[in-house]
Amino acid sequence: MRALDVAWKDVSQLVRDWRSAAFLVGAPILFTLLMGVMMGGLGGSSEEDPRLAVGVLNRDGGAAAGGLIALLEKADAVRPVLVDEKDADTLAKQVSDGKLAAAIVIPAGYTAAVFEGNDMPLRFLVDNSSDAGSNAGRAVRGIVFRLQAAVQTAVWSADIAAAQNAFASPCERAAFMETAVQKAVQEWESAPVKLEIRSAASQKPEQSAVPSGFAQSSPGNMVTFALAGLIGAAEIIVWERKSGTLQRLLTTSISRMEILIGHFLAMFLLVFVQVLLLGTFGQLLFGLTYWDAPAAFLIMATAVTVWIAAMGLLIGAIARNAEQIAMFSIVPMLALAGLGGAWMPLEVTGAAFQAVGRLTPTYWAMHGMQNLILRAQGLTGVVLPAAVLFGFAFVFFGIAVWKFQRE
Amino acid sequence: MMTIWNVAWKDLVRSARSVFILVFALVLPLLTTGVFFAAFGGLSSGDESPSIPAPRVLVVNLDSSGEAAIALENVLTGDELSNVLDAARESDPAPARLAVDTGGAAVAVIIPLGFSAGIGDPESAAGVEVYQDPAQTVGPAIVRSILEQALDGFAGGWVVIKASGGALASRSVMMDGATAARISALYTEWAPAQLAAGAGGLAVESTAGAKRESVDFMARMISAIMAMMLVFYCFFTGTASAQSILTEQEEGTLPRLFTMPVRRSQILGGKMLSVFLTLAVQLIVLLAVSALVFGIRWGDSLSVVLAVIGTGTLSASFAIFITSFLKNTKQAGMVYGVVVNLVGWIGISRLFAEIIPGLSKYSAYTDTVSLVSPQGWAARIWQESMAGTPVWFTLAGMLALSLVLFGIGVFKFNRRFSE
Repeated sequence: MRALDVAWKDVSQLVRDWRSAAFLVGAPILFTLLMGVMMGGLGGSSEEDPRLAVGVLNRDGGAAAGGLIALLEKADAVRPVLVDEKDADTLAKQVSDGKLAAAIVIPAGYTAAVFEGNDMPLRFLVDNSSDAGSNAGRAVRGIVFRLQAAVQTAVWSADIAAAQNAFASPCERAAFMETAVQKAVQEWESAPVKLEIRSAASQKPEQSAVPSGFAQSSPGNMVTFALAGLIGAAEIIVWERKSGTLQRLLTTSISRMEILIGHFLAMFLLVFVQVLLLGTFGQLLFGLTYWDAPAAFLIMATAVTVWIAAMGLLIGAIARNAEQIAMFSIVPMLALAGLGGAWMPLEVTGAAFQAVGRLTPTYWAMHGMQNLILRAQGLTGVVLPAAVLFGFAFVFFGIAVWKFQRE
Repeated sequence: MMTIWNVAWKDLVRSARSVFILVFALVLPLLTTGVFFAAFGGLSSGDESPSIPAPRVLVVNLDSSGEAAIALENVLTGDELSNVLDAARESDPAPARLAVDTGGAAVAVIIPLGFSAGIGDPESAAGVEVYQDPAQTVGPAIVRSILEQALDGFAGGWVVIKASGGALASRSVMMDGATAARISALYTEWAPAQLAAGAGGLAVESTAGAKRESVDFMARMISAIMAMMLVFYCFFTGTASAQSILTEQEEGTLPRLFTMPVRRSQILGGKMLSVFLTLAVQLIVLLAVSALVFGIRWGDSLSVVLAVIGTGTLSASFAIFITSFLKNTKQAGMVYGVVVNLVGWIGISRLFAEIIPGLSKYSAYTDTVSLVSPQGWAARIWQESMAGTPVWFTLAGMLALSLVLFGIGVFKFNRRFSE
């Protein structure tokens, strides 16, 4: 009961500064939006064609060039953007500026050359160092293979027809080959082998509908700013010690453990409300499915909060002044957030970085939250992450108690 | 002059003793850049390029007697792709999917029963299932790309025969078994070589200069992140140092100083000098450490010196300007937190647009908008210095802006302290 009184006193002190409280909720929403957009969060929701734009400068105009454009139009990953000759000089710049994911220049005489069995490569301008460039490159290579197969179809079948004297003139042969290329391009549409992409979340043959940018930035900022909330909470403990309030408290019948639990409860309540609010905003603003499994989200929110509150308690027990609090909370906040994958997916980092990242509580917080919003795993997806976070909390709390008891 | 120096020296000592300022000035910018540096190659095993681990792929072949299925399984699990995929065979789809669900694998590829037989028959064709972790993008994209290429190789035989049949029929040539077998043989001979060629039929021209540019992009990204941190935290350090005016006012030492035979402009000049010197130290340390640890090339010596002068002067003037509007240290916490943060983000947006591919199309917009904030000018001068372009025009703009901000700050303080 007396622990609750201490907790209540801390909470009333913390919420009195409503601007800080607003910052702890407003800033993560702003950053979620900013980082989500940067990571392509709004990319799939516009009415624009979401496929990567590949510029095509057609200097040939023949059937093979037409086949290539038709294949690009039907592609899943890329779409052709026809470019005029007057823009030819700016093609490379448009690619390097990211306005086009890549560009293809079909040289004059391309169709005639490939119909005669000669090699005439297409110029392919791409920035392989960009994601868009490497994805477009993969897609275009597949499309060019299809085009080459279509051209070979025309060449082989023309040879067979010619052996049976089916052409009266070279023009007839050329027209036949054009038709054969068009037919082959069409046949690729009904090719009897297909990929069925299933996402672990939906179990349906389609990609997850959740924009991946927000699925990364929302839990990332939730964890980062929950850590930021520690500063105010830890300050109360340090101020209590510096002002002599703690010593006066200890002359009363309240035990050290009750004081500690009181502070812990206040931090828990503050961060818990913050996490729930951010989860709710994430659901309402960004379409993330935190609340689709309410029990699982509450367990994760509790685990994240218990870990952070225990860490706040530890910082409060170790720090001697406001400067130390800032140092002990901001430095670990940035290090844990960065290493644990709150700023960027660990998938895109090096092997050693990933290995180190998996040792941080932030990783498990992110993993558990993403099990909910991306993998739609519900309760089963939060058991292990929550258990690990409770483990971290136990260790931090234990050290804080030991430090506090020694004073 | 001596008076100005004395005021500045006292504030410098105070700043140097402040752990808070030291953490914000030096530790945080280096730590943040260090995290990104480690993430994108700094912790890799000595390669020049960043090494992303091969994604774990589980291959389940339910068509174990089918020729095409076995070939596909071998493509995925063979030695040729072992540096791209960390593939393993699995006998049952359920544990493979479970491994993806629990983060044990990025992708499970399930080749269905009847896959091989279906290749020649669109009616009974069965799709290859790619069961992927939705939290991952790179690994599944690589697997899909490899599978699409392999499947096109299989499907191509059917496409070629079907299209040839249609074309030949238009010239009244019948596609008999022998002709089909001949075309099939031609395709079987042609396709593997084409698939192995990878970029066959394409003359690839990298607009960024291929692999070297990939490394350059990483260097560019780390440089831009460090420049962002440098600019962002410089302005924080400036405002945190200038807070001494408010602290002294609250502690009563400033009013006592005003009773001395010292002009107010000398006191403020001393404060400004101390902020500038603190910033100069911060900038020099950050530039040196980041050049040594992260290999950042900040530009030629003259440009760097001019950029340090511009950034230090503008940051110090901005600190005096913003502090002149504050009544006490309580207000300072809030204003520094929100205003400096917000203006800082607007300013460094031009650097974001440089390194985030999706934002590059907005660079003209961010380049203009960022200049409404002092941090935007500072970001611009560092961009120019790193790019090797002249910095004089930007420096002139920064000094002019500094003069305006400092003038307003001195005017406001003079009015406040003469009341």
